[in-house]
Amino acid sequence: MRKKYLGLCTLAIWLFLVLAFMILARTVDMEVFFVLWLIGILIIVELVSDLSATPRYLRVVRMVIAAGVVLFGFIVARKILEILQQ
Amino acid sequence: MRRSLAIFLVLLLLVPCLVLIAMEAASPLLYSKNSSPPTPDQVNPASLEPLTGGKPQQILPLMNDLLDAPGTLILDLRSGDFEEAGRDLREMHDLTQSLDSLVINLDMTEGELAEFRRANQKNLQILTDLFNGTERWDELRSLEVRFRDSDDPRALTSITYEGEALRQRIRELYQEYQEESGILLPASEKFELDTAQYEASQAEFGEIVRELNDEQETRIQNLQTRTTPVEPPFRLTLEMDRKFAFYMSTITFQGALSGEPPGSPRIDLFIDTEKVASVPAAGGGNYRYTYLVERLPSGTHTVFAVYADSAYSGIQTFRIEEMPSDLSLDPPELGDGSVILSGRLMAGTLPVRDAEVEILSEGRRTSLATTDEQGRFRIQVRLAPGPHRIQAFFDHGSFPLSSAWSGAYPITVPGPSPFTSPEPGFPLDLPQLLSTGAVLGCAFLAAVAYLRYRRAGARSRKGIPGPVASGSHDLSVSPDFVPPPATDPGAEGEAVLSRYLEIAETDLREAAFTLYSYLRRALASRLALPHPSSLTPRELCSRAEKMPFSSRLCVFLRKYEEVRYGEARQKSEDAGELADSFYSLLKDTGGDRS
Repeated sequence: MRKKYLGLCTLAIWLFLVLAFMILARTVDMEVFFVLWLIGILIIVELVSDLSATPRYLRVVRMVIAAGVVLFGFIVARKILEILQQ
Repeated sequence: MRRSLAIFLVLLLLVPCLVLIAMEAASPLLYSKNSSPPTPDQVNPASLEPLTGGKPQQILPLMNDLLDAPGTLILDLRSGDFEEAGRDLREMHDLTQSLDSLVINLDMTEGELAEFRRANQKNLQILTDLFNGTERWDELRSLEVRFRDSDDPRALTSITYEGEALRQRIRELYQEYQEESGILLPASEKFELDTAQYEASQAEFGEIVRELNDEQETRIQNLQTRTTPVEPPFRLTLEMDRKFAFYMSTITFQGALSGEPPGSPRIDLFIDTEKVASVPAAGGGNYRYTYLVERLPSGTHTVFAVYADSAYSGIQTFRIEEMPSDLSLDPPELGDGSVILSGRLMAGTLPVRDAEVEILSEGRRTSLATTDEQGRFRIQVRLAPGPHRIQAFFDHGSFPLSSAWSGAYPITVPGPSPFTSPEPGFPLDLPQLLSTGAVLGCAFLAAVAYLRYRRAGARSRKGIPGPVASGSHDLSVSPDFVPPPATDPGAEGEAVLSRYLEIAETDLREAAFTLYSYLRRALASRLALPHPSSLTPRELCSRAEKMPFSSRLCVFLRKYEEVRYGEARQKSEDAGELADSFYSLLKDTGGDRS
């Protein structure tokens, strides 16, 4: 199986497990879900990426990760504001 | 086939994910007390009674410890070991706090457990008062011995009066303890707890009251036998206009001081051994004081008057009756991350002033408001964004009133906007803006660094050539990649052979490597082998085993290894054999079309 599809399957399984555990724990939190997605995709991209060549889909995925990092920063900023306001 | 299998697997996982999220989006709470199970076969665990399930298993040992705690404490008090009793009291206080937090965390604020918790809190208060009372009683006992030896009738009178007030108070505590037992024991039996030690503590408490009673009677008798032979120079009387009172009602204490005291005498009034007023005696020694019942707990109280520590009035008792109180909470006003709460505390038609009202969110105290002259309170409470259940609570404490709960309001505090300021004068709240900007800036830099680091990483691997050959149309090739020669392979093979023959005259080993390099590159291209420069001759031989020319290739490679790595040989026949072998391979690897 090509790395592209293997990575996709792994990410889907990872997200499914995260969501299943969240529902079992009755604490579905989209922020936590997003952060776990980001961690998952970072690990998978690192494992899938090649030494000498970058497939086009990986370039797109890396742009998505960069946007995810900015969004992660926004979540952190919100949390800090909540703490400051308390 | 593999691709379609992967897509099928992803879809298989994606569809349940989406279904689960959709279910969650429609109803954020999977189980709440109000939601009914979707099918008759399912049970909603949130709506089950708190007595069932695993929660009580966590709380029962704690309840057992709390039931046993008063027994040890009262036993220590009876034996006069106040140090040990103090430790027991602190331990009981900690256990009570643990129970309170556990009850709130487990959301078990209804039913028998709530009754148990309330009765236990009351018991803690009773036992704290009992501890203070018996400790003071012990001090009075020591003082009595000392003053009896020094034959000081004034001090003995003072001790007797204070002892009388303490006796009244401890009797009162015993009655309250009995009342709370009436609530605590049935609740404990519901949880099947062992109440033997608690019941024994009731008997011990009764014994303490009986002992104090006997001791006080003896003290009074002793005082009478010691002081009656001597006529005191002054006499003081005390009367009151009523024996029962309520919150905000008045009691008038009056009396007269006889014996012609010098100057302008002042009469001190004591309620429960605490001085409440110092009143001047008018002409003829008459005095009068009106006491407003406001912060005096319900129950029986003692009062006596003293003139200059030399004349004591008789001890009088009066009773304060408890009044019901009513606490109302207005609908909360929502703000950014905060909520404004207001309400009123009343005792019948009377406002309750200077009373502390607790504001609770999910049963936890978040702030404390104080009522004004009209019994009103208003407070701004900061709350975390999200849903809350707000309620106000008035704990009567020193008021002769019942405790009161307000109605509960479910509210949802909106999340704070990073660009709104709590102060209307400023367009932006600078610290918040700075912190948000700093974090977002860091996140942006991290994102840029991630992208740049990846590119730099690719550049740093300059020495590793060779792309993944398969599906090269799908790949964006690294800029540092040197592609294999795309010139006419036949002509290039000839050129390599000519170059080999030239170099072979001086350095056969280096010449052999040029042949090997060319063959390796050509085969890697044909067989789609990644990283060809890392392939050894034997790896190349094994990779090409399915090719028709594999045997000749392996012969060439073996020869190449002999020439390249064997002992120094400069034989022309070796050079010729290698060239022949290479030439024969050129035809099969597409290098020669002749």
